[in-house]
Amino acid sequence: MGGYRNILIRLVTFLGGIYFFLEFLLPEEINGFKFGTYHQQITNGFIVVGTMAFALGIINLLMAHGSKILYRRKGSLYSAALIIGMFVMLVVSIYDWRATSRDNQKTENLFNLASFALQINADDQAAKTNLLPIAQRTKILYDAVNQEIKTNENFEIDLINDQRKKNLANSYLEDYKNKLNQIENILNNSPESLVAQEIIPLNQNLAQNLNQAAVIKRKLLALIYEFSKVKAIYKILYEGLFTACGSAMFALLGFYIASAAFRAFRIRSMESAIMLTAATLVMLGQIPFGLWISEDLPTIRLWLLQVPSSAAFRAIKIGASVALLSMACRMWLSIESGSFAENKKEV
Amino acid sequence: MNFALNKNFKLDRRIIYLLVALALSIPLIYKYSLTPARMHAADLLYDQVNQLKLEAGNIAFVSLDWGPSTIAENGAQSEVVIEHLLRKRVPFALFSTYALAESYLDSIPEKIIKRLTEEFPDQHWEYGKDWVNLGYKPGAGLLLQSLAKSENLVELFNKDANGTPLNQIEVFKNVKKLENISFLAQFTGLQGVFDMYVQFFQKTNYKPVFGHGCTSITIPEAFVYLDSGQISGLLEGIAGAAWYSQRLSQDNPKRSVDQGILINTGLGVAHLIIILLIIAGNLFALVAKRL
Repeated sequence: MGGYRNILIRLVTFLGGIYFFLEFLLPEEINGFKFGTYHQQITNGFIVVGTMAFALGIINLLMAHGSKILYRRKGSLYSAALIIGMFVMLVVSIYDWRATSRDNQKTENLFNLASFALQINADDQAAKTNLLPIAQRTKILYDAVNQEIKTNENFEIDLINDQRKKNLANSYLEDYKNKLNQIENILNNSPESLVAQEIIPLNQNLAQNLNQAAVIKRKLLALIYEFSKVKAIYKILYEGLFTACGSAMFALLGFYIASAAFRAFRIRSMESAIMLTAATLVMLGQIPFGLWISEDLPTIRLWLLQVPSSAAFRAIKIGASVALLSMACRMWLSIESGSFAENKKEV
Repeated sequence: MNFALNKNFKLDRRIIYLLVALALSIPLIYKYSLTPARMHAADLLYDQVNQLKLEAGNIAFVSLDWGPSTIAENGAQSEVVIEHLLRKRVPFALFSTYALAESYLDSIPEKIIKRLTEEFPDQHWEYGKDWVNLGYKPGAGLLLQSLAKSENLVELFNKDANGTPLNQIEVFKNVKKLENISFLAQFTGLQGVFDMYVQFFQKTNYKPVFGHGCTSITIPEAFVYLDSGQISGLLEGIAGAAWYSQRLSQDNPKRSVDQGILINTGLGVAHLIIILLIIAGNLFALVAKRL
């Protein structure tokens, strides 16, 4: 069983690698054959596989930290905090997603009706015989649109406590109502008494107005949703807690760098003296106080970055890229030892 | 632990932390700002954006590939460039290949539009006409490759972050292929992301005007691409954002001082303190050795 697993993993790795390798190298078309015909679908497949890693991550977290909590090992309190935080954020995010989906669904019908209007025109122009006459189909469309726009809608604009956004929401609402009036004017026409040449521009106009109404309604709903309770909780957790903590964690580095600079940066050789001089010139060249010392410091800084630094980085980049290429080839050909190496014994 | 300089000339770490904290926070609290140092690479980007004349149907793309950890630098950079595009009425699309940037794709343009509306009460900027949020797009390098190959960007992206079909959004009305993207601004603090854009965001006989914003630690690496002409301009950390903001203020006298310049001032003080600490550390070590 282990042998078949290894062979399967190596085969899939090789096929995946060779597809992208050939797709990149080969011309777009060879004798009428397009190698990348299904590239978008294959790309989507890889993205899906990558997304599965998120789920694996959650499972891994639950296993590692869940066992700590269950057996009350050292650090179980921190594990509990992590698991609770994860579930709270998961629940809030799901509520946020559901609320947004519900709002989107409220406008989906308008977009679908607009598409239907355009489809009626397209079918008539293509002279399809197995369908109802254009007038009849348009009548059905008009009835459906009538039913849709007559639905009582309540937009909670009073939820918005920002005056500028409230004014924007009111202007969206006014635009939406104007669009509905225009749609009603079109619906006042009776398609049974019209010929195809008269119905087609009406349907075109109707589709345009329906789409525009849907776009405005969506913008209005999104604006109102910004001030809903679910969004407020999401913002507190994400922007208030997660973003703030993430920035703070990174900001701690600044303090450690300052402390390390004082305690450890000693000039013990010519190289360290040159490094300190260059670092000081670069730092002084990019701060406002540097200009108080000399107007030429930004120019010196620019020269240091453009000439010696770039030269060194180019060398590092080329070296690292060659090493990366070598590593990529080894992984592609499964030469690199990993979790599915032959000599690893399964527990 | 001694709370001061002891006889071995070792300064308590807490004094250093306090000095750095004061250096960074006082300019922010008292809104004290100094004219930033001139950044040549930021000048290049500013002039490129200033000269942008998009043909009908063309659009700018702004990619925010950064998260909360680099918000101080990348956030300030994104704000100044987006502000410039909004002032020039260049329609742009915002997106990200990094999930943690998703909330900034809405909040940053909203913040800038609020400030611009205060400056110009008779003007307004509208979502869908001036800018569009495409949201977080998974796939990174695979997505960028698809962008280059796509014959119809509207079909590729399909909907904006709110779920509205792109063919109904005015900004995307005549946008078909990669060639319709005249300007690309990419901001990131992540390793390897910028390289993908340089590699894949181009086609035969097509390259957009490419501006990049990086964190201070990746400046030397980004300079290689500026020197080779693969990017047209570069915002070097917060200093680049501050100088770009200064240029915006020079061309728009009514503009208020923004966060980038305040952070840059604080950072300048902190840099001075670090330089002085390094010199002091070496002097103390020398004196301690001789005693």
